[in-house]
Amino acid sequence: MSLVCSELSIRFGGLVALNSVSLELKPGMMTGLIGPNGAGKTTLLNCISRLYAPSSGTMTFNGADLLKRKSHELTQMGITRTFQHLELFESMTVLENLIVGLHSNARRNYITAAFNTAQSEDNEDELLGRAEDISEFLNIDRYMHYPVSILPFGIRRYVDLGRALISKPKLLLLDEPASGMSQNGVADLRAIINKIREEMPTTILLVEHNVNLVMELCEYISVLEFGKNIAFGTPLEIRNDKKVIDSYLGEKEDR
Amino acid sequence: MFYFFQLFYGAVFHLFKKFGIVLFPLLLALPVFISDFQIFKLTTALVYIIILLGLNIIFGYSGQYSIGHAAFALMGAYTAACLNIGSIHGIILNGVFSVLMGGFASLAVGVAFGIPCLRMEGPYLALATQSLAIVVPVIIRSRYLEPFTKGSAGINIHPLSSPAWFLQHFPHFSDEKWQFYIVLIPTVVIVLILKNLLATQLGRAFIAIRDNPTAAATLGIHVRKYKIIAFGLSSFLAGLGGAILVFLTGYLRYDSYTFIDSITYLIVIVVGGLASIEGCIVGSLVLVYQSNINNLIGKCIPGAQDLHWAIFGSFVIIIMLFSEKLNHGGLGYLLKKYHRKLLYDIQGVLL
Amino acid sequence: MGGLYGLVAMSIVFTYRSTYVLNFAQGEMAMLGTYIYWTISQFIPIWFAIFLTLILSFFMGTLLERLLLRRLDKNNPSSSLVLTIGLLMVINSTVQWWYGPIQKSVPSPFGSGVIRLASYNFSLHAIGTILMVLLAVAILIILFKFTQLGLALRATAENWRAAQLMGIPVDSMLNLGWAISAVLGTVAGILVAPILVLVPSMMQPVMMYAYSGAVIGGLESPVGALAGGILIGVVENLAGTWSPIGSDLKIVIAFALTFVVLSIFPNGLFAKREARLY
Repeated sequence: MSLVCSELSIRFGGLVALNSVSLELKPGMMTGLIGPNGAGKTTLLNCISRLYAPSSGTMTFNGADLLKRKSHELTQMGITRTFQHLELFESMTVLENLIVGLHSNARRNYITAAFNTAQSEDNEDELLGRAEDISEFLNIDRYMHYPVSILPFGIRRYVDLGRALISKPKLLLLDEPASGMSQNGVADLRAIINKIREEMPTTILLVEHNVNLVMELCEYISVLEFGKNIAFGTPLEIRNDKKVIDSYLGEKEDR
Repeated sequence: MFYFFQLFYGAVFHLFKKFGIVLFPLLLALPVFISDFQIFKLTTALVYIIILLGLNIIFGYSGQYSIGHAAFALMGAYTAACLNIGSIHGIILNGVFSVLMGGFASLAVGVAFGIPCLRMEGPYLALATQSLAIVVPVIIRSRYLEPFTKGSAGINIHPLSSPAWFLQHFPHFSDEKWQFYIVLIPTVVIVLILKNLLATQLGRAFIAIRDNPTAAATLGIHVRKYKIIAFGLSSFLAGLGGAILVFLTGYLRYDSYTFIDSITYLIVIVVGGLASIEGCIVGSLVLVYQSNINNLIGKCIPGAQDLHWAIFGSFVIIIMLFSEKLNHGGLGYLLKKYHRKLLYDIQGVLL
Repeated sequence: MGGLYGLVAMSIVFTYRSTYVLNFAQGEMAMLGTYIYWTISQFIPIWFAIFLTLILSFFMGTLLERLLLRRLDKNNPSSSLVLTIGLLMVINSTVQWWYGPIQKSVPSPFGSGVIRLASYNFSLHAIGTILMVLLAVAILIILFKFTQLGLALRATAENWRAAQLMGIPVDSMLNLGWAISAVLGTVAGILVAPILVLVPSMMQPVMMYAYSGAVIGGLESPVGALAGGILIGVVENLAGTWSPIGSDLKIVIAFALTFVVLSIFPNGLFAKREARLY
């Protein structure tokens, strides 16, 4: 259940985005990743989901070497992610978006599909069922048959989340889920995340700017600055860590 | 006024859907009532459905620009024709074999070209496929392949005709009628299979790749693999279609399928509707009956004869401008939409 | 000829850089411009006609952009490409319908004289063409690199949202981009017409090479497009003289080259390289 990144580095042209970053996620726990803009948080996420190739370092998940895998193999290992900018399939409905999330984990048999046999109908029904379950879980079942392009941002965010959750992942990577949300939205999000932790326990990596949220929900927090680790520990430790306060949190008076 | 138009449209489609079972025998019986030439046109329309389906798969569903589609049709056609020079006419098995080989030849080339194309995006991909479309006819005409392809003169083969044993029982059964029924079989089979495939995982994977390849990849879709499948499937269908057409017309030249044809295919499936099978059917009808449409336009708007392509082009422009509202579809989508509207409204009236 | 391809290639790249639309109708627009030139030149002296045509094509570009491109979803580049294909059809059909398919001959604006230099004949037209191309390139370079306007145009192409925030009127810039490329295209058309006859399908062979040149050079850079266009022209001619290939297969070489280049450099030779892992 654990992701271990060790000394990951990546550079884009002359810019070193990640400089020997290490991270170890405790299984079943939620770890937060915070840091100022440009610290490399999303870059790290992209490395984990194999959209970028790090120039050095290692990454394993449950012992398996992630660097040898490609993006699409991750879901089979149980790793899914959400996106800060959602990246939905705009021409599809909510239902269809969710079902795509099951692509690699569902039974796929093109022969039976081609001839529309009973078995393929059963497959489709099963996909439908799981999509309905997830949408109920996230309270978006009302919107199931709407095309995502017309839905409000908050609902779209949950579609993105649903896509990642529907395959019952072992590792869930959340990329700034609270960004763009209102106060109410963040409260809802908090409730949903708690619900996830209760009903679908899994390891979660939460990249976020909303430090309050991270402090409340996460058992551990890792802090990045300019592509380097500067701290790791429990929320209490992080809140009192001098380096973190200097670089990111600021003194009490400033807030 | 427009409302009634919409209802009418929907009603037509409704009839098709609900009573397809009934309409199908009508389709089967149709050749009895119309002239041989009309039957021939209809048969060509059937084949074009296959070719356009191929284009729709790669462009409509998977979002990969392909403006070289005609080249695959040409390759399939030539493969089938070459395998058939000097052979006895009308023998079904021989024809089926050649046609299938045509399909597979195109498939091979399609995949071979698809692999380097995997990394290309958007306009670059379009230009790569354009290169293909331009190059293939030239190569076919060139003197290196002349012993096989007979260069500029083209190939003549004996078109499909009613076999002797059949003619014994039905002496007036024309070649065209025979062709129609023979071609109907693979067309229906292909359409049904693809309809199923595209409605399930495969279709969704294609659309996912079109809409957002990054998200698709992180959700477990092997983007490269599916692109290759799309290329292969699309070129297979084009080759198959091209090969069948050779057996219908009996004549093939290196410029039977030009780059301009590729562009017309594109225009026609946009008008018909991207990412939909109905779109291919509508598109095929538009393509085959374009001169009839042209005459119709000429009657409605005096002096506008021969402007039909400009009008189709305008349709394309308008459709693209409103593509969001149309959900990337074309006339095919409108059909579906009006059909649904009809159902809702009728329910309202009945209740 | 290579220079001509380069010129047209540049105009394509221009539109692309301004609006991120690959304009498939570029050739047709150039053709339209040339037809207009022909029509006008029946009544007034040549150089005056050229001037007038250029102004008209400027407006044609503006008009097209206003009517069509404005309303496009800036986020979805694929529909725009297909739209330009539609435009291609419209212009082509309309011109064919209006003017008829009979060829018309267009005299060269440079006269039909020939200069002998070291036992090679150079037609005045060819020299004039090269000069025009160089002139156009020079003007463009000056515009882009040394003027405020050029800077604004480039900014808009790179990141229109940021440009907008900086106070640049994005829509006008896009407009201008199209207008300029319409002019470039027409110039190319006028230069091409004396060599190939003026028919509705005149630009088509040229366009094939122009797009290849633009793409080889990378759609991001006009210099690359120019280089690409010249490269293709040169390769084609050389290949023609190399006997195993001969004049019928030289097209194949040019396009094979395009394909190979694209396979290795999916974004063209001069463009930034970005590899995707999936």
